Amino acid sequence: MSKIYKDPLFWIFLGCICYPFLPYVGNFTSLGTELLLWFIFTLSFNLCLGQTGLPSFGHGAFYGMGTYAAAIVFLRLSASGSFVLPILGGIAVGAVAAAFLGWLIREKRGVYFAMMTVAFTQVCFGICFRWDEVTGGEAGLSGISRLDFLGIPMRDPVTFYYFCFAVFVVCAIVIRAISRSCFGLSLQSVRQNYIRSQYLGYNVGVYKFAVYTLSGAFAGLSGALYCLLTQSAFADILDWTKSGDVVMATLLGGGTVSFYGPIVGSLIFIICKNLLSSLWDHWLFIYGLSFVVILSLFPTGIMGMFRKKAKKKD
Amino acid sequence: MTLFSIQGLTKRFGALTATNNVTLDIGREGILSIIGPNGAGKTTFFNLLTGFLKPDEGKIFYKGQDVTGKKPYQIIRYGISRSFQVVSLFEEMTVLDNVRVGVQRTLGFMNRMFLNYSHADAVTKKAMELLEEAGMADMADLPAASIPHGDRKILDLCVALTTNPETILLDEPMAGLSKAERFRITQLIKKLSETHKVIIVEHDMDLVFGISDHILVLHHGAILAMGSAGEIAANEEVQAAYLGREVA
Repeated sequence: MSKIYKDPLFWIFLGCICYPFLPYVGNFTSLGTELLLWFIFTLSFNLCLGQTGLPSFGHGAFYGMGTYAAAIVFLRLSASGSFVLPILGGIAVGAVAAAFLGWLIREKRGVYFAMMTVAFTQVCFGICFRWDEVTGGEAGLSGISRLDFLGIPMRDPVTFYYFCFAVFVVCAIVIRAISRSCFGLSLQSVRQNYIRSQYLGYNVGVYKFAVYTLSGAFAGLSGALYCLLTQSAFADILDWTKSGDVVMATLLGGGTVSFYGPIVGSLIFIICKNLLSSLWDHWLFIYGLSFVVILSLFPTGIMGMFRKKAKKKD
Repeated sequence: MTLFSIQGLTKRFGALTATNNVTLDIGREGILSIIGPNGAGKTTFFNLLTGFLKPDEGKIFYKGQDVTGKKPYQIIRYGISRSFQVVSLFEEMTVLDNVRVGVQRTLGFMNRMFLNYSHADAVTKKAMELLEEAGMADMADLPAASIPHGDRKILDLCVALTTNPETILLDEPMAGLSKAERFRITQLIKKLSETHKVIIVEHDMDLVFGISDHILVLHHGAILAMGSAGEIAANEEVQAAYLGREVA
């Protein structure tokens, strides 16, 4: 049991538990919830980028699809009053959308892969922005409420925060287990040398498809929770800049070298987006500049920076 | 007994015919070396055999089974493996993990999602055995990128052996090695040939004539000659096309 203190996840979880009690930021519960959802989303994204080397630059599609799926499920099917059904809907739609795209582009690589994912996001955006009957078009979908879950009123923001925290705990543990598993090593081999991987008997396309689907499910989950957080769904979450934010946050944090990179990156991004922006309108200037400076000095991001220091000490 | 039976194999790149109507049987025993002047089509032939390229015409049978146009990951399952001319490793992994990647696929562990790969004891055991046989066990925990070039060549070979092949194709195993390292690799290839069919593409004539049981000479994509080392050395056509020019 004493080992648990050495596990960074323990400290991350502890921080999340304490968040609502922190001075100042603790009052912004929805900010904390959004942060948790970003953790899940970027961790799932990093299964693709950091683990398998898939530049899925349109990953926001699955997040957004999850959001819309949850909203539509709630508004059309949730007459029974289920809290869980919209979430399951988000997971399913995220996974199916990712499976569809993943199968189409499983043999593509590099910039071609990246562009296909961006194009897919744009298609999703177009559909959600125009299809008034189903997605509400420009007006989006609203009127979603958080129902009771097992008798616990989720309407309370702090309760919902802890629900999202519990989901995050499960996701983080599962995703880390996957990334360190035999399957995770197979994915690593695809990223580091896909030709050699094929000559060891790995059907690389199938692995790319599998991890993409898996990642899409987690992204859909976080999207669905986002729908419940904001109690609405608007097409702007499918904007390609949202996908860009995920890539930036993951790279900034050091997702290519560390499992914890996406968490660090999300933390910085969300803090900048929400706190810095209230101080100065042009906060993106500072964020962008620090991104350029950090990544040009430390191409492997913030976690890479720490890793280098630790190595030098040895 | 034939191992590979190749019939009318042809591969064109635009106007260039890199492999031109090659028909050939390769036996199960011993070491076969493929030589030929630069541009003779050795590498193309090698890549056709290992599924890296698809032939335009012709068929390849391995132990009677049609493997024409099979993809690399399928070819592996017939018991064919290959090493790479430019060492091809998982650079960010340790030496041991490089071997693990192959072993875990062969042993069927590759899709286990909730088994920490370093806790897959059967995989670790088999991987360490392979490293020990190659004399690299003491390097197991070093990053693959950090070890000397000669060791990287051997690791490349170890990784190729993780698929439990019967036939192993070596693409220029001597490229870029020092004299001492050449000796080490030569010994390894000899040892390997006792249990495996070895097919080598190589420029190093000392190695080729020193260890080959058969030599295949390619010229302009076609077979110029095939025979024992003595026969090839005495073959006038070969001398004219290749040895003559280089020796003189």
